[in-house]
Formats: sequence, C-alpha cells, structure tokens
Amino acid sequence: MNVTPPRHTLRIETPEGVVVNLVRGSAADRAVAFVIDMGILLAAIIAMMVVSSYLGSMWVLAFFISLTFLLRIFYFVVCEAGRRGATIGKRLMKLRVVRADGGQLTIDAVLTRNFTRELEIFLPLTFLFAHEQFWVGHSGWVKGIASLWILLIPTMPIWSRARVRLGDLVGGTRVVRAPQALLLADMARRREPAAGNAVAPATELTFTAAQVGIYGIYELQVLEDVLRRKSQPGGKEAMAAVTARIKTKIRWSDAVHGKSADHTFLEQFYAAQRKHLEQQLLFGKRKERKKS
Amino acid sequence: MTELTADDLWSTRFRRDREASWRELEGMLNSIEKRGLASLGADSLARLPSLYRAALSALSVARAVCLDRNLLDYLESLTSRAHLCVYGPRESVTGALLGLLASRFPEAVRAAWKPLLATFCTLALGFSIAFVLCGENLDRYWYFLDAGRAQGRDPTATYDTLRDTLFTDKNDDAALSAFAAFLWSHNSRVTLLAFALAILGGLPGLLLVLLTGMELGAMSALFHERGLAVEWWSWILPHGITELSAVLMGTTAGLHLGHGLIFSGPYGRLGAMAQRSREAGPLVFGAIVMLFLAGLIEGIFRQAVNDVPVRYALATLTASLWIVYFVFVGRKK
Repeated sequence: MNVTPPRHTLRIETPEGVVVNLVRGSAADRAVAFVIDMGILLAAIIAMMVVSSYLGSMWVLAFFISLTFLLRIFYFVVCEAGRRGATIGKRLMKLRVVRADGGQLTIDAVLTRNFTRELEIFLPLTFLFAHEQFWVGHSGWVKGIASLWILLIPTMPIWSRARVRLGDLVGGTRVVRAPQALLLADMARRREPAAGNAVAPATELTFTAAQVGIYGIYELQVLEDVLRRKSQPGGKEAMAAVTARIKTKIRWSDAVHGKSADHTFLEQFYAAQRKHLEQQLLFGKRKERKKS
Repeated sequence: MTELTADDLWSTRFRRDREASWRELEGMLNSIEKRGLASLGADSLARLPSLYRAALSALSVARAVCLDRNLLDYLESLTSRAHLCVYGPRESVTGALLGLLASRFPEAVRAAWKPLLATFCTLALGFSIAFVLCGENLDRYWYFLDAGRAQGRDPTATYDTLRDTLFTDKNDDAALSAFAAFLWSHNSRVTLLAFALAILGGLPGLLLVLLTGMELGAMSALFHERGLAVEWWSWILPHGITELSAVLMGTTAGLHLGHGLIFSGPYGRLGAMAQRSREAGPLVFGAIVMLFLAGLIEGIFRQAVNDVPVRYALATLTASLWIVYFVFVGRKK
C-alpha cells in the first residue's frame, strides 16, 4: 500500500486515525451536477414569475423577487448542509461534499464554499454576456490579463491537481463520488453443496510451493477479476486463455495432474495462491508482482 | 452448514466472523441515506458508532493481511460511507442557521474588529475623497460614478428633480417596493463580490469598498451642493446603516480568509483558510441577513414614509439596535 495514490483519489484520515480513500468527483460530473442545479433554480424562478404576473400584484412580485434571491443563495447551502451533503444535481450525479481533513462537515464550511460562486460563475458570465460594460476604454493588455484571470478561476476543477474549485479550497471541502461497492462472494471459499443433495466434491488439485510462488498480488487480483466475470459475455474465453497461460507458466500438464474444467482449475489455483501469498504477508513479505 | 476445514484461508475465516456485522452496518447506511437518521430505531442508532469502528478496524486488518480485492473495496466503501454518516452534518440546517444569528455572528464580528475597522476606514476614505473633490468642482462627478448607477442624479439635474428622487408619491409605492427588491439583490451582489474578491489577497475587495465609498461621496456632494443635505441623509441613512454594515461584514469575512492565504501559519495556506472559514461563514451569512433587512427597510418603510424626522428616527433606531446586537448578544456568561 505504499504506492502513491492516483490523482483521482482523495485520502482522508478519519478522526479514528484510519486513512480511507475516496474518489474525487470529476470536473465533468460536477459541471453536469451544477447545470442540473441551475436548471432547477431557473425553473423555480420562472414558475414564480409566471405566478406573480398572473396574480398581477406588485407586492406579490416583490415577495417573489426576495424569494428568488434567497433561493439562489441558500439552495446550495441548505442542500449541502443537510444529511445527504449534496444538492439535487450532485445527488443525481452520485457526488457529495466532504471535509478535506476528514472532520465533520460544518455549516461554516458549506457557507464559505458556496459564497464564492459570485466570483466563480456569475462574474465570468457577466463578462461573457455584458462585456461592453467592462471592456470599453481599456487597453489591450488590461483586457488580456482580465480575461486570463476570469478564465482561470471557473476552470479550476479542470486544471487544479486536486480537482477543486476556489470555494472548496477556501471552505476546506472536497467533492467526492459517493462510495457504493458491493460485497460479492469470496472466490476462495468452497462452494457449499445444497442441503440434502450430496454432490461429489470437485477433484482436489494440489499445487507445489514453487507453483504458487510464481505470481504476485497483482496477478492474483487480475485472476479474481477473471473469475468474477465468468458468466459475463466473453468470460468463458478469457478463462480458457488465462488457464492456458497459467498452465504453461507453472508447468502444469493435464497428463500428469489429471484433467479438470477451466473454472475448477482456476478457482483452486486462486485459492492456493491466495493462501500462499497471505501466509507470506503474515511473515511480512509482500510480493506485488511476478518476476518478469 | 459447512464445517470449518483446516485448509480454509485465514482471510476467509476473518470475513466469515465479521460479515454479519458489516451487513448490519450496510443495512443501516442504506436506510440512513434514503430516509435519514430518524429512520433507525434507538437501538440500532446506538449500535452505529460501534459498528462503524469495528468496520474501520476490520479495514485496517484486511489491508495488512487480506488479498481479496473485492473485500478490500467493499470495506473501503463501507467505512467511508459510515464515516460520512457518522461525521456528516449533524445539526438540522435551520437550527444551525439560527444558532449563527443567536450567537456566532455577533461573536465573529467582535473577534474581527481589526479587519472590520480597516474596511470601514477604506469606505470612509473613498467617501471623503469623492466628497471633497466633487464639493470643490462638480465636474468631477463622473469620475466616481457611472451613468447606469446615477439614475438621474447628475450635476445637470435641477433642485426639483433631485428632490423628487428622495420622496415618493403614495400611489406608486408598491411599484417602488418591487424595484427596491431589485436594488437589494444588486447590493447583495456587491457584498458577495467584495467577499469573494477579498479572499484573493484582500486588496481587490478593499478596492471595491473604496469605489462604493466614492459613489456615495460623489452623490452626497451633489445633494449638499443643491442644499438638500438633510433630505439626502434622511433618504440614505434608514437603510444605509444596515446595508453598508453588511458590505463591511462581507468584505471583512473575505479579508479574514485572505489573511490566511497570505500569512498561512503552521497549517499551510489551505489549512489556514479552512480553519478561518469557521469565522468567515457566520460573517458572510450575517451580512446576507442584514442585506435582507436593509432591503425590507428600503422597500417598505422608506417608500411609504416621506416625513424627514421619522426617517431620522428610524435611522437612529437601526443604529442603536445593531450596536446593542453586536456588543451584547452571544456573550458567554
């Protein structure tokens, strides 16, 4: 586990002192989530405008304008400070907000990360759509520097190493993919015969220490993948190919050791090899890969 | 069922012994993520932290001795989900926001008196520069204000048209209250922008405050010149005290964060900023609430009341209420 983590993982240390790896939300996912959220806000605002123009009273209009602004400011805050830690858009994109230091996500952090949006989104948008207001009467290099600056800030999730936007940096928060892995069957475990139905156990294959000592952890986990995909399309062919390669590598011949089905061979080889490697681990020896 | 056989792997036994508790935790997490903490009974809620810690320790052990990658991925995901539930936002959002108003906002204001003073001085400086320069020669008016913001209040306007901008006919007060709500959102933008700009090292935010002060100074010089000083201040002060304070608070919050960016201290720039968001969050939230109140005063009261002494009375009232609030509310006993 001493490998440097890839760019997209966020390592946070829980208050209990264990490091867990989360996957950072990609810039694309976050952009889509933001567009969804803005769509929701826009729809709400348009709906209110329609209602208020239908009612026709200026007081209703004033009320709705206030409500619109509160919505624009507090929609993100209320959603992210809630128990899901995500706006509706983020929830749809399976993202959520966490604190970068692994601590509790506080309302302060959420407030700070959301109040920078004026600078990140709305100011650049104003420049895009109402640039003549700002551009007139400035020399070329002023325009150049201003455009560069205005381009850099909203695109931070793309170019920053940690995929953060300004608000994340300031509030000490990160956006991560909501984790959701399933616990599948243990491939090293013997299949249990159905109750009352005595099936002859598969032939026991034995491997020598030299045979299981060839491969390392990486190969073991690739083999695990192959085994888990055996019922998917192409799984059978992959198993056949892998079986053939392993048999050559460990000098296994069907003539000497007896013939067995591909999946029986692979499952038993997997179990034997995992047992070997795990035993080595207990002695502090960690073999990452086979020696090429 | 199956007997434990001698050739069982250590990691298989490890999983068999603990799987039930992982599944229980997973079930709880599913229910919390769908329906909230309240969906768990008291008993299971009490078990959540211990199940979480058990899963964490299982993860540590599994990383050291287990090579089943699916198991490792599962534990990793299970513990991080549980971590997010256990350490996610705990208090209700409305409760937290009310708590900010009840104590943490005035506390943060008292703690940040230095940057607040600096921001105030910047505003006062901008005001004085524009006021003095325009007072000497009104031709300088357009250096400080652009036409879009002036809305007819320019040096060519007569006494009567200027006076009309300060008082309203009773008939169209509702229309003006809608307009005021627009204005309010403009000033909130200024506050948020000053906050966000001040984060970037402070100066841009202060510059915005300086410009705001200059706009105010130039307009004041114009009204003083026309002999409308009393009426002008009765127009600006009732909401202006609250609104300008809000601009100052927002900028102060940004300065507080920008200070962390420049003088980072032992935890690095990002760490310093993240820590400082604890004070900046309440400040900027409080600023928004103040703007909301200023908008109400501007939209409802000022358009409805054209009586100069009453306007001054309200200005005095808001000033004293804010002083009481910032000085006394939320002090620890």
